[in-house]
Amino acid sequence: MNEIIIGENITKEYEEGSERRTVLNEVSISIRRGEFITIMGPSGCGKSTLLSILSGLEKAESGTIRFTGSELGKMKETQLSDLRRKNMGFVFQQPTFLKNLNLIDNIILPAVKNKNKSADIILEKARELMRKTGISDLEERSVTQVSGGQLQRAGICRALINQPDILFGDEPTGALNSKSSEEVMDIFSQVNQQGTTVLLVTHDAKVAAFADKVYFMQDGNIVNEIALTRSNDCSMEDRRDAIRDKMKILGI
Amino acid sequence: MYQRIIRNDFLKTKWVSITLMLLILAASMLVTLAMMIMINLSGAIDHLMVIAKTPHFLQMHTGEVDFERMSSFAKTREEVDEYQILTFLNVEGSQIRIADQSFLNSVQDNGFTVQSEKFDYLLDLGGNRIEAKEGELYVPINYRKMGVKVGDTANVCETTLKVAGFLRDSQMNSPLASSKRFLISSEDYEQIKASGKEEYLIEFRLKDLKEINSFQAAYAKAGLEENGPTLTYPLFKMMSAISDGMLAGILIFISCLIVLIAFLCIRFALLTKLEEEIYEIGVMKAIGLQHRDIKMIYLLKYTLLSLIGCLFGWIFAWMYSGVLMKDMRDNFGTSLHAGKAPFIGAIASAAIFLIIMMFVQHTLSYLKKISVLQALRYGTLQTKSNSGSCFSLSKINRMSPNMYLSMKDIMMRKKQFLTLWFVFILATFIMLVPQNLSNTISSKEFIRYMGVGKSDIRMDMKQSYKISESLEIAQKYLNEDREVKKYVILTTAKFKMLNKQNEEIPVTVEIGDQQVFPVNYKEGKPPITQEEIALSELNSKELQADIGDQICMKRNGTYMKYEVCGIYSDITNGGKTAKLSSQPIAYEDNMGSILYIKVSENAQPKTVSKKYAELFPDSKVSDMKEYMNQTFGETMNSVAKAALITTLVSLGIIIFVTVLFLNMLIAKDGYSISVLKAIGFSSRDIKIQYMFRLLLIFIVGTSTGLILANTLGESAVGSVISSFGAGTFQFETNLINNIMLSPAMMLVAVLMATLLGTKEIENKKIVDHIRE
Ligand SMILES: Nc1ncnc2c1ncn2[C@@H]1O[C@H](COP(=O)(O)OP(=O)(O)OP(=O)(O)O)[C@@H](O)[C@H]1O
Ligand SMILES: [Mg+2]
Repeated sequence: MNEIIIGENITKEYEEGSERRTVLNEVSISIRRGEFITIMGPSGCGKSTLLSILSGLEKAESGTIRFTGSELGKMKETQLSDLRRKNMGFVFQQPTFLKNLNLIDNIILPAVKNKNKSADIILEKARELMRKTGISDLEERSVTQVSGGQLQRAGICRALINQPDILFGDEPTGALNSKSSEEVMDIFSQVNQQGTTVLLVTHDAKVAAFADKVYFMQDGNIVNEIALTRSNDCSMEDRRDAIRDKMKILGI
Repeated sequence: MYQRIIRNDFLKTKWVSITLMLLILAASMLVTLAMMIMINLSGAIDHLMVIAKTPHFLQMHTGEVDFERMSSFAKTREEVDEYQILTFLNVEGSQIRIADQSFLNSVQDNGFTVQSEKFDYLLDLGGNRIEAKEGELYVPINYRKMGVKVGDTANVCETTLKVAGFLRDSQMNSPLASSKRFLISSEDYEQIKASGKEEYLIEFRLKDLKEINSFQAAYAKAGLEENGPTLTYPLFKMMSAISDGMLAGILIFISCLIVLIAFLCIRFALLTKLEEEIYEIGVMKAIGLQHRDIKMIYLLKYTLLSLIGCLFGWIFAWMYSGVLMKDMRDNFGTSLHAGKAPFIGAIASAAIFLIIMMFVQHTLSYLKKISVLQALRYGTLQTKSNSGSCFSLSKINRMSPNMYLSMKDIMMRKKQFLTLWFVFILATFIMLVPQNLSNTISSKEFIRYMGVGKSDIRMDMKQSYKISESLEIAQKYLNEDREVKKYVILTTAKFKMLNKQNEEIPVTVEIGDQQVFPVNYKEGKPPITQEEIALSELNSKELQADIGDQICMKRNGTYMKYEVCGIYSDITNGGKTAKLSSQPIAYEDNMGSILYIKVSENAQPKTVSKKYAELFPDSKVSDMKEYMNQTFGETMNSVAKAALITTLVSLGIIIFVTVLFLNMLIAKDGYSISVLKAIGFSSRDIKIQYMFRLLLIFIVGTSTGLILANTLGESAVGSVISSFGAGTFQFETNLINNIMLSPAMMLVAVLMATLLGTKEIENKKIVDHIRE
């Protein structure tokens, strides 16, 4: 079984006053182990919603989501949070940290919660990740004392601390300048090369170009997709342009 | 603009606002009620004592009275306004029967009297001087509770009378007073006179009550009749006030604590609100709103809340005061200040309102400290970043993250949690202090504070020519009686002691083996040798004598020296007493004897006391339990009732406040909760965190409260009790109640409240907070 996530006919509605508005309309998506996938689409088309439903942060009105075979809708809340903590990693667009805790404590929190590793191993792992992301000298800083880019990297470290099977990112580079953005994407590629499945939402074609496959969304549907080969004779620029062309055709 | 902001805020935090308002309402209502009861009580007692013209000085006397000498004494003393000698016909309880109620078991000295001429009137329930017609009987109001009704037929010493009404007796109304006066016509009095024993009440009213002490000394010095207790106006007042006063005291105590709790909750709500709205405050500051304007937004809301709370608190207090004061009205009639009470209540409510306002102002001064940059950028108040950084997850091994996060949170928000801690202390206090007081008063040991040893049966033998004979017979019986474990004979005498100014002061002295049933000694020990003497606390204060001091006492015309060996608490005989070890006493000094008996393990005090009552019909035999019940029953009941109410109040407060605090905390912590959920903490984990926080604070709070209630609470209650003459007051605590039952009840309350209060966590959607 190669699929890590299979979502079928996902429908999500929000109530707006007395009306119900369909945000996702029978969306089906399947992601294979080890894939690097990005989702693109205009603002408000339902990308974040899809991501939260696939990762069990939110519930859908109908449809099924299977994570490595088990159905998320049938899990208890505790099972779901265990699953999220052990097998999934998240990087959010906005920094999401506990303000009381310093940077490293925020990063190791999900690992400590797991209770299966000794504190030393966890710390070592956290320091390694922080070194890789270039924030190793900020360990003791409070989350209010670092920059947005540094915080985003810390978010990545936290997402990776439990060596998840899949890493979700909702516009992880949205708040970053192009240099930091590239550095962050390099980390995502590395992680993916080590076998972690990656699912990103982005507006940026340059970011999307890192993926194996790009899904395009519009008005609550996946309307198109494009597969990118990662051979040497296909440069990042070419891939980016291919995505941009597709977007033009779709009118995004 | 303010109007709209406040309305929106109100709608958003409906429950918190309502809860706070109710708390203010309760605080204001209780304080107002307590004030009203206090004022009405003292007013009613004063009023009764004024219209009844209660004597300022009363000497009871058994035996002959030299009327001429007395009246010439009264004439020579210029402070005397009026004087009279009343008779009181003491009748055995077995000789009194009303409807089917016998007074056989009454521990009171029941006596009959006719209405007095000059003062010390017995009044009807309307406050009018009663004129009893032939065949009419007026019954002390206390006996109404026994079931006596107007129209009942009474049999007194073979004379049939009809109960014509109830009477208020300004000096003997209280169940604590040992005698009760029934009023009959002089014709009936003459008829039953032979069946009872006549006693005299020698009464004086002074021109100025302030001279009571010097008058009392002068009376003692003049060597007039004094075979019986001496009582004064302040003592009458104190005895009347004690049981309702106790209730009012507890009410005042509780309401003060609830006011404090209301303050703490307001403080907590404000701090949490400010923290929650820090971003908005930052924005307001950034766009140039003045600190004063921002403050106004918060101030207005609380002004409104406290205004409504205080106003309705006052109104409710006014409405319900009638119910609470019904008993009091029965006993003492209407108050002199009845009209004033609502106004004074209003002043109390207004005072609470003002204090809340000042308090809110003070808490809001915090606004000044908020930096715009900090607020906008990070949405935190933290000016000192990372305080407590040594307590870092990366540096602590083996701590569950739930526990760690809870501890960290407590450290970071000390102010809020200190507030909660304080609330728990107060709640424990509210629960335990009245419980302990009730337990103490109803405990068997309590009697020792009153200057009476702990025994099962008390037998009073009045002084008479045949007392020594009766005593001998009694001793013989007691020695042989298998149902008696031990007994002691204490003889009462009235001697005079010299104070530091060399004035003679009359003192009731108990003579006999003081070690058999010892009273409660504040210092020192009971007298053992013939040269030792123990003084009651009030007496030692009056004589300014301490342990080891020498004092002089006039016995049988000669002065003798004694060394003070102990000081004990006593409220009998006006509290000024002394104790000597067994030694012979001259017949003239002897005022009678009391036998205290302890029955053996398998005997029933009730049956034994009945047996001796039959054997010695001339003496008054009472079962101590019965005695306590009849004299202190009312006080015990009202305190027990108060303790039950306060226990419920305390549990209510705990639930109320815990839910309130959790609600506010969770509303404020929405963001952190979402973050935790997003990184894989379940609702259960987060609930555990809140529960852990609350339980930790609860445990620390209740233990502190427990300790304080037994130290601070004890000395506070003690200082009140000791003003009645009981020296060292110690709580007779029920350990199981104190450290098991009460905390367990509170724990259950907290757990319930936490389950209720954390329910909201489940409903928190992760996405709502993370996607801003
Ligand atoms: N809690 C909510 N209640 C009601 N409507 C919502 C809620 N959350 C999202 N929506 C609506 O659902 C739609 C999809 O939202 P979603 O956040 O998934 O869009 P998106 O594709 O991620 O947009 P963006 O690129 O701007 O992040 C939007 O129209 C949004 O207004
Ligand atoms: Mg989005």
